[in-house]
Amino acid sequence: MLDLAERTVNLARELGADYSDARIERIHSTNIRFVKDNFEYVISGTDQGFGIRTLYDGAWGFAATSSLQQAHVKKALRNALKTAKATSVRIRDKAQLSPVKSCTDTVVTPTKTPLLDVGIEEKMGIVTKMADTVKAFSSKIASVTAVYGEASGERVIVTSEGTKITMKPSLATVAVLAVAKELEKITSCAQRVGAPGGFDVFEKLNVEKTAVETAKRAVNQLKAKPAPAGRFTVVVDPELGGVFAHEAVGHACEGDHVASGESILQGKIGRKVGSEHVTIFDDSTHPNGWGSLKYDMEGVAAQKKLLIEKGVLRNFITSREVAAKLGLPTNGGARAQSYAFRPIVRMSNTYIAPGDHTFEEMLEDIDYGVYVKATRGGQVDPAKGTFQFSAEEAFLIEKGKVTTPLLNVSLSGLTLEALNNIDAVAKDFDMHVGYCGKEEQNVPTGDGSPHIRIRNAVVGGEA
Amino acid sequence: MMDTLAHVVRGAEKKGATDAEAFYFKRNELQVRAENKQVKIGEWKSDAGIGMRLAVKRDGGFSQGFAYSTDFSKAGLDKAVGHAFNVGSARKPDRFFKGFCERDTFQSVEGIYDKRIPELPPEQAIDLVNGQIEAALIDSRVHTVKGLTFLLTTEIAVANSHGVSGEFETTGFSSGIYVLAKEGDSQGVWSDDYVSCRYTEDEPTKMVEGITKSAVQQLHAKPIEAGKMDLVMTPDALAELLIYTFILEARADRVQKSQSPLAGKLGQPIGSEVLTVLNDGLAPEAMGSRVFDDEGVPTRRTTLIEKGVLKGFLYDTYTARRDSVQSTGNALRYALLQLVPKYKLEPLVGPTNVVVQLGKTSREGLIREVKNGIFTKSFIGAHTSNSESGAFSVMPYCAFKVEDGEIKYPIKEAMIGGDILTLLKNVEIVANDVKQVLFYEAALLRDSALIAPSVLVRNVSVSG
Repeated sequence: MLDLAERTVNLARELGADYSDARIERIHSTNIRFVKDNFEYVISGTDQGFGIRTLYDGAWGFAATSSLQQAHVKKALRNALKTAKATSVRIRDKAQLSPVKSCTDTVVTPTKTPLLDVGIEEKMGIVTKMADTVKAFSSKIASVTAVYGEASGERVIVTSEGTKITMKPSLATVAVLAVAKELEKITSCAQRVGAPGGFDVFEKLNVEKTAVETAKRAVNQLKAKPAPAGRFTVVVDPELGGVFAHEAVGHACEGDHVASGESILQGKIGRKVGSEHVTIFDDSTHPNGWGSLKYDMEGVAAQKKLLIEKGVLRNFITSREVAAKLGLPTNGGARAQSYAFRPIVRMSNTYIAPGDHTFEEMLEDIDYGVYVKATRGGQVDPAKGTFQFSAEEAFLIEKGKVTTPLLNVSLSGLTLEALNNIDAVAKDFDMHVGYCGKEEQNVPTGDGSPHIRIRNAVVGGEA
Repeated sequence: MMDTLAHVVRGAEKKGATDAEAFYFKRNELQVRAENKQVKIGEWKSDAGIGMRLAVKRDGGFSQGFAYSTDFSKAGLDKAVGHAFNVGSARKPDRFFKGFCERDTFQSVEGIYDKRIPELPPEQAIDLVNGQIEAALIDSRVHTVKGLTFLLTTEIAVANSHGVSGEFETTGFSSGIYVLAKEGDSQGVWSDDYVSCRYTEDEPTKMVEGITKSAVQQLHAKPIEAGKMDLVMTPDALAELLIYTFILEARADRVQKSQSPLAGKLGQPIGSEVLTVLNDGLAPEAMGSRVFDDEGVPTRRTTLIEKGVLKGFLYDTYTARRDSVQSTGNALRYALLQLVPKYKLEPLVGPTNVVVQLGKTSREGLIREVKNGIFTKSFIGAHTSNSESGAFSVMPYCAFKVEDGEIKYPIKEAMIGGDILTLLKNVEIVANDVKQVLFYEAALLRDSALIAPSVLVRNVSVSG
């Protein structure tokens, strides 16, 4: 692999490329999805391919092919270069790369039980066990979906500046969705757990407990009442807090959004963007983090990035090109879903740092508010600084106590307003595993947060 | 390629499979991306693979296995067949499985291949995008212009042990532009795209002026008061809402498992009388049109809603046999919100082109009917809808307040909550402005489209 990548990068130089990086991958994956009482799919396969990015007179070209045959690899290189040349005469702002030290390294994710050594039946077994656990929890469980995913293999990154990195990644995850039903009312809850490593990760992750909790939450929601709409004091749980950190803040800290003027945080480094309680990191080095990586897809050592420190904006996430454009150091934030995609600025593990409140203290002086937990998803516009999340679970807070469960609650608003209105951050902390989509590329990311309290937040409901 | 597929089918049969199928998918694509008011990068992607499906006879029925390979050597393919066989042997038998589809006659479909697309020089696509950017810069308040144009050529071939054997090629073209306007602290965003199986530079260039105007009109958005009001959705907004709340719930598999809010409602009125919705796998120049579906059944036209009455569901061979009906040609290999090459996926039930029949009113006429309401181009959060119940809670995006028949001002931070069956009943007028919208923004599907006009819905619950 390393050989083919090196040869092609050398050829790119001979053909006139100012810079190029090549990635070759061979990744084995298994994906299993079980719905109600059947396997919807059980898919194993090997994805291999070659991707090359070339820079010519400040313009990029990229090409990828699923064939590793010499002729196809060369054709990909020629296409990438042809496009870079065609683009270079049609643009004003040329790309530059911030300098980095080249390096040679091999990074192996340690595994006790390699994923490929475990038969398909055992993997299918984990999924059915989760589904059975959910079903056994209550007769009110109407359906269950359980999924298993794994990826392991080899990836090389070679740059024309001499960087040569071999990675042997391995990670595995399971997720479960429980749907509960009573009369006409239907509720659902989902949870995902996962970690880098071999099949042994499931020894540490309590899969059964995850299934029980998920079922329990779905069933509890059957008692939920329509939610009030309006502005309330809201307490946000670590899962939704992590999603908020990721979606509303993390995306606005992505340097490419900042450089193109699409971030509400543009030009605000050193300025106060939130209350003093807010400290947020994007940390590629977090041990066992779902989004952790030692090198990014440009071959740059990935870092722990302090984005917001006590309410003051400190940094953005950068690739080499974006770092040069913004005049910031490169911090290893360029990721790609696979060889078939160019590296773009991405988050890794994004989290709000714990504070000093207890959960109970945060509730104490709330006369009437809403406690929101987890999320079914959401969207943000980092340019406008707006966000919207549908909570998976929600409860009324009355006179300092969590009371009635609420149905279909969403939390929305303006990011900067919400950051300013955070007036308490708890000591507790939890990280969740997820996937983040941007420009059609999905990468594993971790989101974390303690409980946080937001004053005057917009809650949407049906009542 | 047909010889290779025949080899896979024979190989699976030799191993003892009762049914076998091989599916070949290849794409060649040029994407031109614009960021920050200029072309950012041209990207070429070439990808090919074979997915194989087989069935093994077991006690109590058959069980299916699947695997894929990008290695087309005999050894590589045989290894994948072995994988599929192992999965089949580990799965419980499925009493509803009654074999893969039978051979049927394929007809050609008009306008799904444009030979200019695979041959288009990259310079020409880059020039098109450059032209769009220039056209967008007609207002000094334009702060950012982004865009994505792609030209796609796909080859699909399928063979199975029941004599199905066929191949066809399609092309696709999509060109989208996003404009962000800024004035003081205020930002306004608008985007639009043009989608077809045929390449053209006229429409994608012409649309840009309107995008910039709308982005500028979106400046200085104001919050609105909560209440019940009218909602005008453009085809783009409709695509985002319908895919998660209605179209994917019209899948026979979801109905059979009682997971759909449409289950048990066949023949009943579920929507307003002005609403007629089809699935049409043969619509000319539509990105969802094809000769046969992703398991080799010829595509066709299926009525889903006729004048408000639920008339049908989407079927593949498996679900059709379970209900003793004909497949509607809706086997589709897809993964929601992920770009996964087709050969890596088993077919599920999915839409090809969903067509909402046009009314007689113009879009302007539609807006004139609104006394107090919202006009929206898009939604944030449609994918968070509860598919089981059809409940949704979404934020209108690129939206205006409409009062007394006129667009008044851009709005921010409104939430719309409700459920799909109530919404469909409250559709009052269907307009005559038609657009082809790929379910790409909404779900990353690239060969399924909504062909629809704008619609007016009464009595929608809005919180400010």
